[in-house]
Amino acid sequence: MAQSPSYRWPQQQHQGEPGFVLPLALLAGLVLSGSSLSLLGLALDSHQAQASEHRRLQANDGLHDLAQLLALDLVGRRPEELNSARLGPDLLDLALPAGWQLGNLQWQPSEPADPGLVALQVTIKGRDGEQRQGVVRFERSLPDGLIRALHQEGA
Amino acid sequence: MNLVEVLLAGLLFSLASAGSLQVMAGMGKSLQGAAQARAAEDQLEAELRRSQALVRAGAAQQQATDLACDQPALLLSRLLTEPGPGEGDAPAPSAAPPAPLVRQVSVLAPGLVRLQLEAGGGRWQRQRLFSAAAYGLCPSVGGALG
Repeated sequence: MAQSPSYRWPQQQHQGEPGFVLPLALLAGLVLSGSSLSLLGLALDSHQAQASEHRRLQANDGLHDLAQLLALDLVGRRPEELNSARLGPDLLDLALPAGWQLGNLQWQPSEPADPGLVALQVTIKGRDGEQRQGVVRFERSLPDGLIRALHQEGA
Repeated sequence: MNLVEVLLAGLLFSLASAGSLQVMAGMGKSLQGAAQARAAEDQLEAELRRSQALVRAGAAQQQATDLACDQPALLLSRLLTEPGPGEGDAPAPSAAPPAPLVRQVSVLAPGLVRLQLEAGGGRWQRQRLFSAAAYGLCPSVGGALG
């Protein structure tokens, strides 16, 4: 069959015209890069949350251990005999995780409803000014006011 | 559309795909690591709570029986190293065996011991101090500092 001279194959027709493949590839590349960046952001958030949780656990352990040391010191004594100087640096190093130090110890007002309990507010400080507080409750015997045991510690 | 355009598009798409695949692979590893860390932290927390419960129960028993406690730290160590009730029994068939924890109890002072727990070959650690006085165990050890 004879072919008319004006006929052009489809490839020949598109030659020289702007194609759609390059813009499509650019768009796909942009979408892939954008989604990768979003995933990286999520991974970073997850990592930060994990680090923050780890720090919270460390502080909780420190408060718990400090309560144990305070019990070791205070059981058999009266609340007014509290002296943080007896918790020397060596002992505090045992109790507090690296980067934390003892901030403040302060007795809370006694609750008339439960005179057998005394509450001590404990503050520990982190490196970057971060603070954590906990309340340590001790049982005391009423006739003499001597502390008997640790009742409960909590954040 | 010519050959150069197609080649350039292919190159661009390959680069973007390769980068994206690497990021996704890294993300997968990161998520897996986070899940492992979470599981290890949960396991350590559960073990610490179990140890606290053991000491509390042991202290109550000791107070009830009024056992001699001339060495309160050793008494605490014994409470922390003894298997708990039900421990050592065959696990339920459906329960996945947890990764082994390394458990170390050291005596720091009369009436004060430290429990150190490690999971994942030392990657995750927790520690707790246990004072005999805190649990009303051997009241004579109170006021031990200063």
